[in-house]
Amino acid sequence: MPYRVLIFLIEYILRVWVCCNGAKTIIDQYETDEFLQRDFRISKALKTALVAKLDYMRSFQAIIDLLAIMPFFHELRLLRLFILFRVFKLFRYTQSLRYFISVLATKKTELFMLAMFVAIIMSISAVLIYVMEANNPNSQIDTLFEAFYWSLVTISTVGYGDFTPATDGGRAVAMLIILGGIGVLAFSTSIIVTAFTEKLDEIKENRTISDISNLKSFYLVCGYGEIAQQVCAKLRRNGHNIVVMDADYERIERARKHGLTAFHADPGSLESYRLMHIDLDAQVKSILSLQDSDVQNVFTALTIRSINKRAVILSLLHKQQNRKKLKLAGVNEIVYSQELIGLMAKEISGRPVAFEAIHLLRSEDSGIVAEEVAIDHKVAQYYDTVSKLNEKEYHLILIGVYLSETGKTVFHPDGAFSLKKGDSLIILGEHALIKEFRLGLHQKRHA
Amino acid sequence: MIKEATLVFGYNDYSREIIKQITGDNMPVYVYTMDMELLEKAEADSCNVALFDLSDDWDEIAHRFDTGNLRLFCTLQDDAENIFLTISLRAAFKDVFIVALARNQESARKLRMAGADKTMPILQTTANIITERLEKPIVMRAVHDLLYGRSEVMIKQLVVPEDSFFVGKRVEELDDIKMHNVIIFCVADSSHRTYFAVTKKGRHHQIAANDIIIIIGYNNDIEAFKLFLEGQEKR
Repeated sequence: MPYRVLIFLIEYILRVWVCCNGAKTIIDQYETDEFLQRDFRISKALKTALVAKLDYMRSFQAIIDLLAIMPFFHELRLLRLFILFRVFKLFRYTQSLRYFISVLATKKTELFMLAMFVAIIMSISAVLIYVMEANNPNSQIDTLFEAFYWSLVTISTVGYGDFTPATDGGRAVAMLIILGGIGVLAFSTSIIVTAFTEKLDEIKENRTISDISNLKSFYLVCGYGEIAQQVCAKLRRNGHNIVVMDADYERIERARKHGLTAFHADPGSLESYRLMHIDLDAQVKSILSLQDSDVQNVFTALTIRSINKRAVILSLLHKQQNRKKLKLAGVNEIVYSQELIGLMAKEISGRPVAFEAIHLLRSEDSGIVAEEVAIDHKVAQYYDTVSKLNEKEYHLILIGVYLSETGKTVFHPDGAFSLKKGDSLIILGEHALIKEFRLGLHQKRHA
Repeated sequence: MIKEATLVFGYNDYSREIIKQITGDNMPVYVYTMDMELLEKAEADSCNVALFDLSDDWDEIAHRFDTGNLRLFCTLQDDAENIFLTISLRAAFKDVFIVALARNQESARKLRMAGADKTMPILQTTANIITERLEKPIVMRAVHDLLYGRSEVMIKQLVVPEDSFFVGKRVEELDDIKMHNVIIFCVADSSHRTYFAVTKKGRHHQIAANDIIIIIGYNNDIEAFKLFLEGQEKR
């Protein structure tokens, strides 16, 4: 038996196996019997489960599955025709085809009317051409079937030319049917295009939901204002996945133009998160509430907290007096740009050169970066003190060590300072050399 | 005439934060606003406040302050007005230090062209802080602790005196010298070009008089280093 058949057979058996929950049927039967205070009969439960499976096997989809396997049995060569059923089987898995059918289904009345119109035109023209041509010895159209055939070929604008009218009356009918054919083509095209245009938003939305569910981890950005645009651009540049959610359609369109996955929904509504099918614990790294008002940010934070207690929420603060409200709403980190500007102003006026240097460092334009290098338990075993790090070999500066236990940073530690698992080194240097240093830590550890 | 002062133009959430932060710098702060309502508000907040307009009449400031030691903050909400204010102030006072608030990078560029010494683009600054908090939370906290004096360790900039032992030395040579437990972060030359101590160019930079050395360390260590730099302590 070819392996392809085996795969399809296994797939078919598994499909039959999982089509209904046998265990649930038995338990339900048991509970019903107990409730009605009668003896539990497993045979009855098994029969119910079996009937459910047989129902599935008799279904159109299951029959296609079975027929798709059959052509490999050589004794039934005629049934090789059923190989075509594989195409149907493929179709069954195609999301796009389902979309296509569902879109067309919205215009079924119009399509039905059009089909009726075509049928009437065809019938009339077929009869007319038959009347005009059948009695003419020079005409090729002699039977009603040939008249219908000619009519279909002409109205569909295919026009093979194997049958042509020989009489003036026949040619007059041909002219009418040609005009009718152009009309039918135009109508059918416009109906299909209209259907797709009307469903375009829904199609886009479904595609976005599908894209989001395929992301393993991303930042969820609520609101796509000016600050959010800057944040998204920077995060995207650094290789992070971002999903934008905003109730304003124009902003969502802008986010899409910027190449982001964007979902048109209100971040303050529970329904939005249900629609998006996102797993806040598994998929979302952080939620950034960057909306234009504190009211919206508080509302969004409370909405998220009502469905998830653990998600990390970072929010913008617009008015200092609302800080406490954001905290109460469950925001983990608050960014107040006015305060940042105030602190910056102090630095600029007090230590302009130092500030400029730090600014240059943070902008990463100079090629110099400050990075965190985590100490895992294996690195900590080998590099138990700062002196063993040898960061100077890589022309790096160890600014400090972040202690995970206390959450504090020890700046400029001496060589005897001991390193522990979970701590992080704050290293300053060229990006490539920091990468080398990181590699070095692990390679030497293995050596 | 007032010898040293900080003048803040505009009175809004940003200027209030700026005033709050710079008030402790032992330099009197004066607020200038174009709006009578804001003037009353600033007065109610105990600020030294006066009215101004963009008509290019800066005599009051010229008579009242020693313009050689003035720090000016242009924080008007409207970027166009702020640029106009900056260019007016620069035209009137060549030597003042002007810091201007900008909505975005585009306005920041225009403000620099208008004569601002430093600009603070709100959007980019906030966005950078947010992304740093997400990507490098530990580094970000450490940098903020250093910059904003939230830890005992601080960042300082020291000018190299002409007769300093450091003059003529290359940055990499300083590794071999007793460094008083401070980190030499970078050196800026007289034209404020920055040389990071970790780059090849930075390590080879020859220290000249009036260069600015930026160091990180504890206060006592920085003080000791300062004496060393000034040649008051032999190595």
